[in-house]
This record gives sequence, structure tokens and C-alpha cells, in this order.
Amino acid sequence: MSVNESALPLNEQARSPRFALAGNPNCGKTALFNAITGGRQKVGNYPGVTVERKEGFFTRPDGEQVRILDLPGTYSLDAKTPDEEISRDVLLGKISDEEQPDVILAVADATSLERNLGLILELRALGRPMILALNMMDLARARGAVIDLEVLGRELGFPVFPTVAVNGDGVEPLLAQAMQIAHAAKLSAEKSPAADWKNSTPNEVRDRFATVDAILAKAVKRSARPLIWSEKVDRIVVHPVWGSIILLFILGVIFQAIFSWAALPQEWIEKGVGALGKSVAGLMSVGPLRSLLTDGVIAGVGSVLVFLPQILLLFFFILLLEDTGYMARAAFLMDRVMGKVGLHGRAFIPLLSSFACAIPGIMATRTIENRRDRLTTILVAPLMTPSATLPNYSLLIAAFIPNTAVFGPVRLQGLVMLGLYAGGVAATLGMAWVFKRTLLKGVKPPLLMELPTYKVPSWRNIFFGLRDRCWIFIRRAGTVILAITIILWFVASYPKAPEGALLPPIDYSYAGRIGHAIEPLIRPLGFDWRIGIAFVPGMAAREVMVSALATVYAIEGKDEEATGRALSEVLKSQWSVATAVSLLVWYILACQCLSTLAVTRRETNSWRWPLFMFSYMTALAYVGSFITYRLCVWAGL
Amino acid sequence: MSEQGMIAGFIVAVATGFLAKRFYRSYGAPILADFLLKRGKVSAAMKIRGKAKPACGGDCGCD
Amino acid sequence: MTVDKLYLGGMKKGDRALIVATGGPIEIRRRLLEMGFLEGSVVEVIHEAPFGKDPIAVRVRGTLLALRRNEANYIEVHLEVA
Repeated sequence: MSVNESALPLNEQARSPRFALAGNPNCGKTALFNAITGGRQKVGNYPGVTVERKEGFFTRPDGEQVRILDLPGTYSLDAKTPDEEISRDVLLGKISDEEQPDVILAVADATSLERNLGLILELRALGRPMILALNMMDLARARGAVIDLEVLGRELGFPVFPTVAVNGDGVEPLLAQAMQIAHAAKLSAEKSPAADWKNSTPNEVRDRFATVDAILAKAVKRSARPLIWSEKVDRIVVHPVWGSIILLFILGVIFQAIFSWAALPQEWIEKGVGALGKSVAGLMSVGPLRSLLTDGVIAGVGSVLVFLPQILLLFFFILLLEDTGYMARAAFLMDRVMGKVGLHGRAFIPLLSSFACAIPGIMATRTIENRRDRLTTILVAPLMTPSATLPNYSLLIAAFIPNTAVFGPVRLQGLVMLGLYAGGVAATLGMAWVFKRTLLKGVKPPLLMELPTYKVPSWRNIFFGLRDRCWIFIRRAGTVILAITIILWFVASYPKAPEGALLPPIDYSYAGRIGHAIEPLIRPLGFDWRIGIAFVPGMAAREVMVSALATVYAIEGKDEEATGRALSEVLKSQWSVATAVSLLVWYILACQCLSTLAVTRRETNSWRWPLFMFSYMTALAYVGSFITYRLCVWAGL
Repeated sequence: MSEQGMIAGFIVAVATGFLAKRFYRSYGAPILADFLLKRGKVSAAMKIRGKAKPACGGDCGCD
Repeated sequence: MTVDKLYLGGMKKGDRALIVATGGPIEIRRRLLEMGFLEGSVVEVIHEAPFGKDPIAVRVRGTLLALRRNEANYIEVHLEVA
């Protein structure tokens, strides 16, 4: 398992209790997880499958350490999708290498008990020790709900605790009781047999909800009033005219912010990297090590690190939109369009989150039951501009697009970025349409999606989310990208130029030769051999393109000055606008992530589809870049 | 080879080793495990599968 | 006296109705039931999406759900007199 177990000594692991959090989507489970673990969590995968596994741990005042698993939010344990299957199997103890959780921490939204209790009853049927956290109690009370927790607990057969996860209220009593239950279960030492689970028939579902109603009739004196203001807001947000304007406005703000707010921190990082390069250069005499450090490591990895502020900003907005509940409205607005191309409505939100990385988008297709729909979504997910493309876009925009004002605070750079992302979305929709018409003809998939009530965003959630993202980005830069850059440096520096050579040294290196070999293939697209060199590692990981270019130009630069110049300036002086635009189009369409291909292989259980994905995307990118380049040249750029 | 050259060479070797191991864990191991399974060498395949990581493994930060 | 069957898919914004039967292929039917479209529950149409008034957003059992009209047509209803 990929969980970092070094947090607990080996002999403790056998004895430390394990909890599992289970509940409907949107019930605040993640907030509760964050409140309990203080953000100490590790994200990984269940062995053998790519369902995301989120585990954290916390320490009790008496020093006891407890591990807690955050299961994917589901509406029911009836396994129609791998997500639900994993949740169910984990709770039943059927996953190898995964100990059965000792206590189930069920979470339910107090404002929406009529539906939430359905899953709770299913969990009860598993026969494991259980406790219920009735979350969002503050909202329920504010909306006039009166719930008798004792009666509810009695009817359900296990304790019920009120919580307000976003500020941590009620978490301590909940945990204290859960610990008691865990200890009692350990003492009784019986391992309940791995019960078998059969999917419920529709009649059983009806009966289950009839039970829910009966329980609620006894325990709830008054249920929460519906949130009228939430609906009033929705009336504007979902309005044909206003809704679209709001959506565009929000998008515009996001992309504008990515440039303007990030500009200052980016400058600092750039200056820092430049200064570091100069000081290292001053410390040693000319030689391979110095070149490795300055041209390779510092120039290469530094050029990627520069984009950290932008990526964090992007994630900030994504998390903010998700947390407030706006994302679901965006999906609702866009569904007509999505449905027309045959894309699954519920896949839209994960696809939107694919703006972070295609891989969650692909994994989220697990909620799609129909195989053809699932395949289509998987095949087009990488076109949704993963965040790793951001450095690539940003570099070229900074170099070639002037920062002129368009109207108000909106500037051209932000608009172009927005346009590129829109291009990605258009490509996604277009290819989905093509696939649905040809290879993967199928029935139009259902929508059936919840629109959660608007919430004040949880800044704690957002902070933890950003902190994780920051760490992941830096770790990736410091490991994979660093390694690739080092190797690239080597391949671009050796063999050295022979005596009396006329061409710059890099032409004689392995990399140079490969680049020159590729060049005839890519020259129609406006690319030269240097770009050719950067392509090869760039196919493995998108951002590496930036660091590869930085290294190639750094090695090539003969004077000391050149290595200090920002990469964007170098490119501006060397490339034509047509080349830059053509490269941008390539970035929108090309498949540049080995990990995506690997995950696709896992999800589809064959090499056929990743191969197909790579081929069609490469072909698409080639044609797209070709047309773009020719058009630009013809237009005189 | 100069002193700088040796250090640089060492760094390059480490980087190559790191990437090679990662590549093997993410891509090579599953293929090898499947191959062994087909040949009937179940226990060996299982041992390798245990070491294999799904290609993401926190790389891009799957949420 | 025959009454034409009325379905959720045919309702307009602001309509309230009582669910009489939830049908459809077993997968969809189970999903609909799980999400709360049970017989005897009240459902109200709150929003209609732009571009063709499809999909719709309805409130049932305290939850706001979005679904397409063709999915909603699996749910037979009786119109409630407001």
C-alpha cells in the first residue's frame, strides 16, 4: 500500500483501532475527516485498483493513535460502481491487505435526513460497531429543526452525536464515544464473519425508506425548513441569461487572477532562482558539475517552480467553487451541451476537476455504469487541460502575449489563457461527440445529480487542500522532474563538440542529434530541433517541457548572461509568434502524460485503449498544430 | 576525469537509477506479474504485484 | 373514468406533485429510489435549465436534485392542487 506507515511503530499498527468514515456525498464527511485528523492524511490507492484511498490518523489525549479511513461518499452500498464496491468491501473486510475497520463512523446531514438515513440503515445491516455523527447541526437548528437525538439513537441502535464539522464542534464527544466502542469491540474479540452482500431489489429499497420514515416520525419533531435564500440565489445562477453571464464572469475572474495575483510571487521565485544560479556559479570553476547544477538543476527545475503560485491559485478557485456548491450549478447549466455530445452529466464535475489533473477525472468515471459512456469520458478526459499544462501555457503567454488591457481590469493575457482552456473544453466536447457517433455509440447517459445547498466555504478545508497540492507539486518537481532534467542535461551536454566545431556544442550531443533527427517531422508545425529535444521528456510529464527548454537553451547559451535571463525572454527573441501559437495548440491537444496512459490501462484492463488514446491525441495535435502554423504564417505572424 | 566530472557523473547515475526504478515499479512490474501469472508462477507473480504501485501513487496528486 | 398518466418529466417550474410510481429499467429505478423518488413523497419542480428547459431541478425528500426530463419520465405523479 502506498500509505506512509512510518507514522506508527510497527507493533502499534496491529493494535491501533481503525475507524472508517462513511456517508452520502455532500454531508460534510471530508470536513469531519479534516477536523479529526487535523489535515494529517495520506492519499493513495487500494491495492490492485485505482480507487482513491484516503487515510489519516489522530492521537488521543492518552496517547493512543487511531487510524481513520475516509471512504468515498456514496448514496448506497449497492455496488453499481467500483467506488461503491470498494466502500462496501472495505467495510466487510473483503479487501486483501486492508484490515476491516473496527468502528464505522457514519456521517449524515442533519438537514437532509430523509435521504441520508437510507445509507445509514444499509450500514447498520453490515452488523459492525457503529456510531453516527449528525453533521451540520448548526444549519439544521438555524432552519428550525428539532431532533431528539436520544430517540434517534434508540431507534437506530447506536449512539448519535451532533457535530458541526467545519468548526469542530461536537467532534471530541463523538471521538470519545467511538473510542469506547472500539475498546469494547476489541475486548469481545469476535471477528464478525465476512457477511455477504446482495444488492437490494427495488422493493427492498422502498422498504428501507419506509423504515427511515418511521424512525424519523418518532425522532424528528420538526424537520429543517428548506433554504429559501439558496433557491433565490439559484434562480439567478441558473437563469438562462444571468446564469451564463455569471459563469463567464467567474471564469474570467479566475483566469485573470491567475496572472495578476500570481505575478509578484512569481517574480520573487524567479529572482531567487536567478540569484541561486549566480551564486552557485561563483562558487566553483567551470566544469561539468557547475554546468549540471546551473544549466540543469537550477535552470530546469527552477523554471517549473516559478509556476507554483499560479497553480495554487487555480486550485484555490477550484476548491472554492466546489466547497460552496457552485460546481454543481455549473454542471446543471452545461448539461444540455454535455448531453448533446453524449457526456455523462455526473462526470462533468469530475471532468471540471480534471483541470487539476486528468487522473482524478478518469478515476471518477467509476461512477458511470455504462461501459461505453465510461470509455468515452476516459478517452476525452486528458483534453481537459490538466494543471500541469499551466506552466507551458503561462510561459508562452508571458513571452508572446502583451499585457494590454482589454476592458476594465481584464487583460489580454488572462483572456488568452481563458481561451486556451476553452479550447480544451471544446476539444473534449468535440471528441466526445465524435466517439459517441462512431466507435462508442450508446444510449444517452442519465444525469441524476444532487445540487447541494450553498455553503459558506470551509477555509480549513481549502487550506488543507492547498497545502497538499503545494507539497505534491514541489515533491514532483523535486523528484521526477529533477531526475528527468538531470538526465536531459547529460544527454544534451555529451558528447562534447570536437575541436574547431562551427555549430554550437549542443548540436553534437545525443540530445542534439535526436532533436535534429526529429526535426523534419515537426518542421511543418513550426517547431525546430530544440523543441524536438524537449518533446521527448515532455511526453512523459507535461511540465518537463518547460524545464527541458530551459536546460537546452541554458546549455546552448555561450555567455554567462544568457543563463540568467528568463526563459520567456529567450524564447521571445528566438521564436516567431507563429511557432508559439502552434505550440500552444499542440499543448491543448497532445497527450503528454505517461501516468494518464498507465491509469487508462488500469481502468480499461487492456493496452488497446491507452494506445488508441495516445495515437488519436498525437494525430489530433499534429493536424491542429499544422493548420495553426500555416494559418499564422499566412497571416504574417 | 576531473573531480567535478566524477560528482556530476554520480548524480546522473543516481537520477537514472531513480527513474528506472520508478518506471519498473509503475509499468514494468505489472507487466512482469501478468506474464508470470500466465506461465503459472503464481507465488512469484504475487510477490511482484505486492511491490507494484499503480502509476499515479501521488504523482500528480489525485484527490 | 380514465385519467391520462402524468409524469415528472412533463411538469413545469413551480408544479408540486405526489409520486405514485417509480418505474424504468432496474438500474435507473434503483438509482431513482435511492436518491429519494419514492412513492408517497412530494416532489416540486424548482428550476428549469436554460437552453430548452432541460434538465430540471426538483426538490424531493429535502434534497435538490437535477435530472433530465427523459429520466423524470420514469416517475409517475399526481398533480397536487396548490
